[in-house]
Amino acid sequence: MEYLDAIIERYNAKRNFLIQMLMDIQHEKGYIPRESIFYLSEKLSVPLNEVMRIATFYKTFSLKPKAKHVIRVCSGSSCHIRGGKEIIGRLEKLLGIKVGESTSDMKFSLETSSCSGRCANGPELEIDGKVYPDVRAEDLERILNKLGWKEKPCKE
Amino acid sequence: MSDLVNITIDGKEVKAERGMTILQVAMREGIEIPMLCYHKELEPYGGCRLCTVEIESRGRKSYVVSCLYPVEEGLVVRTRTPEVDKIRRLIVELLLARAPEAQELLKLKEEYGAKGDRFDKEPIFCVLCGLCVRYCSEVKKKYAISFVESGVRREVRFIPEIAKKECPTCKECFPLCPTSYLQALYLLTQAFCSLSPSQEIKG
Amino acid sequence: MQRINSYEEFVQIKSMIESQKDSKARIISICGGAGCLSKDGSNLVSLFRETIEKSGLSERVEVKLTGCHGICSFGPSVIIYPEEICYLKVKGDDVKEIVDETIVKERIVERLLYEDGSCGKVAYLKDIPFYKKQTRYILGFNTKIDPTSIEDYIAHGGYSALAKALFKMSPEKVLEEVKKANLRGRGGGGFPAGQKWETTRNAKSDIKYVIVNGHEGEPGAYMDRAILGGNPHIVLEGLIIGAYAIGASQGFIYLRHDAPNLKKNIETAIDKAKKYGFLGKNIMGSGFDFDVEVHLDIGIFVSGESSALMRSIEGRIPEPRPKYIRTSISGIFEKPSNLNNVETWANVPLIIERGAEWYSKIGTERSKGTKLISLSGKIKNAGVIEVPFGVSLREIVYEIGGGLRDGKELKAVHFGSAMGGSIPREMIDTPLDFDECAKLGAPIGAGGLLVLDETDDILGLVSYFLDFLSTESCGKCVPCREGIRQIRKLLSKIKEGIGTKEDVEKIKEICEVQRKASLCALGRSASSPIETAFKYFWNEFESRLTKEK
Repeated sequence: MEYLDAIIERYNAKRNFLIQMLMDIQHEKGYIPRESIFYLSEKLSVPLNEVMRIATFYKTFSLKPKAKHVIRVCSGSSCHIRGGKEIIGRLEKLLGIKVGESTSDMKFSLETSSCSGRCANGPELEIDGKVYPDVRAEDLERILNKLGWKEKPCKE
Repeated sequence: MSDLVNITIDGKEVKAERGMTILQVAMREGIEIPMLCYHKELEPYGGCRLCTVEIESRGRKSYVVSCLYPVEEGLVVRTRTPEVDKIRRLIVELLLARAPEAQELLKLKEEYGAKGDRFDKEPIFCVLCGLCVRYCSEVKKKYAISFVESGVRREVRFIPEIAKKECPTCKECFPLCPTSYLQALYLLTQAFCSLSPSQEIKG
Repeated sequence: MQRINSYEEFVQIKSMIESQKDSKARIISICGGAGCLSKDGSNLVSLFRETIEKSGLSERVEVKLTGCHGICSFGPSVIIYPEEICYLKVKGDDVKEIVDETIVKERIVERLLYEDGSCGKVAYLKDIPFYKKQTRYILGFNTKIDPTSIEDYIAHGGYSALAKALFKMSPEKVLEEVKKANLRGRGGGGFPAGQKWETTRNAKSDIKYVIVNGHEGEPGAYMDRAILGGNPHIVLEGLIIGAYAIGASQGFIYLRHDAPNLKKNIETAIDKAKKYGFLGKNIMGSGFDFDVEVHLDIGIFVSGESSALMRSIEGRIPEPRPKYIRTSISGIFEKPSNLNNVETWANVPLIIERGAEWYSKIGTERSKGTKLISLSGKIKNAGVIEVPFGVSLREIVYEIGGGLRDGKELKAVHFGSAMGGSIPREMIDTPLDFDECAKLGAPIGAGGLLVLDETDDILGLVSYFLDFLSTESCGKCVPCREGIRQIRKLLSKIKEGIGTKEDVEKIKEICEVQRKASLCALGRSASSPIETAFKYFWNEFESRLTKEK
């Protein structure tokens, strides 16, 4: 729970920064562990159902751990009509999962993200903080391969 | 010093205290306004929109929820008009698609001439009136029930860790539920809890 | 950096800063907009700096990372001052040639110039059709100033309006000027800002707040980020002037959480403004106190709604409040709070500096000043532009936007994303105007203009918007939540070819109830796209309906 204490400290335990704290947790852990919801409720004296509601309300937050590489396809209106829809469809097919899911080997999670505001570069992907502008369906396999898509799992 | 205002409700001129809502005045005057998410012990919620009425203020007509709208000098209120009825009828029809057998809705269906099968049914039985969540938060202050998710995915859920401790001896929210979904949800949650207390329960 | 303590000191320091800036100086201005940065723009900065240094030119040439130039489809954009030579789609490999040819030998690198069928190759910004047709009172700063440098802004006239307001005008006079200018909200509401300010000013409370809504959640709208990212000081200046007029001593800037660079630049700007005495206690020695706090949002669209946003600043769930109590009277922590959009605030220094009379000569009778538009969709020149109200949509799409990509024909332009409407090609001569566009069912919203071509399916677009709203909605009220749920199902039926006329009637009825009975503007406007779709593109629905019941 030390990481939680550090985060609470960062905002001087002020309860109106609750959402910021949850964002920091999400950023550090990749998701929001259930215990952290209880911990924050206790330490900040915020009713548990309120913390629970906030943690589940936003698409930015995930209560489930995510895979190694999180693929975010911009789902803004411009990217959508410029081929974003097809990119999502192709990725679902290639990875065998639907948006919101992760591959069983936990290598890839597929998500949509809200408009990034880089509409001139659409359709656009973001993976592990790297932006792929003007992406086309033909580029997808190459991008996935570079991230170890078809590699065999390491032998431990 | 009482601050009284003059308003007209369904053609009747009455006096009301500043700070009262239209609903409070209506109730005092014996005028019936349908509602689903209202409860006298809870803060008005404004979620079901069934208590929508037509008002005229400063020459403009608009539609507001009577449970929240504060009275003001010269306000004209009409609790039943063709437009108001249309709004209420559609709300009932939309909710019947989610809770086809709820008593409260069936009563309103009669009153407003709603059709039960107008919309594609997705019976989850919860109408998201929030009475359970709000009762547990505001009156019991146990916070055992929570709203989760947003938009069309919004749901009501028990927080098992708290429910385990608090609910068996309480259950005061049960009679509030207009569809008895709450009881079913509670049993389900209980089942999960007793299966394996240490198991990570989703959501 | 010296703290300014009087009007005279401001004039002195401004003069000093101006004299240090040589208008004939060689500057390499690199676009730091999000689009260009993601195409390796940040790399260009270090490459240019290295190359300039290696060539021994560091004394004579400045390399500057500026704000968004606006010509996004042709990014990364590099502009060479003082001539304003525009190089487009610049890559790392081009840097050496630009330095050798243009900086050293003063020759133009032809292959990096703008080119199109009508005008051939064009070197200078003022001749490029995309820029030529714009009126860049606000965006104009973006190619010239470094957003992390307050001195750049001051050298270009920044904070003069604030000095004038604080020392030459009373708060009432400032308010009056903004009212006279008829500045209307640029975030989507189009509500007269002066009126809102007045309500907040007149509300009885010793504590008042002013807020910058930098949430910009409307998909396709990215002009606020261009302003905030390129010139945070113009927004700060507007905010401080507004606070003075309203009587607020605390401000909040509400930002998207996914733009850490933006947050950093704004915090730098606040810090520097404080050091100069433009923020904090006793601003410039005027006796006026005002401070600002930055808050991040969580990315959900509805938190751009003003009452929801205020709840978010309070640390609560951003659920909209029914607006029976106006936030200008009871907003954050129940204190009178005046919220305005980034672009609205950015207009304030201009109005105060040049006066309401000058300002109201720009635009139309009821829509004054300029509007930033972010172009997206099937348009050739996607990017951020600034035009006076009254310019026709045709001019925007064809003369500035360069027309449609891939040789396609225009089908419609769409304003306001999921809460807006489409204007068909037959009406493309409609002027850009709050009321003219609203009359057609397509209010301009934040100014994000989505261009649709003949291959775009209107039914598909409407479904997409409803999908977007289905989870962006908070889900509290029945008309919005259940209404959206059922309309989506009915649209699916129509898409699959099994929808009936009765289904269309059901959709229309839901739309009517949503408009009248929803809790907030999201629910009330959820029906807008489908309403214009029915009005102007009915054939796309009718052709898919089945005759059977």
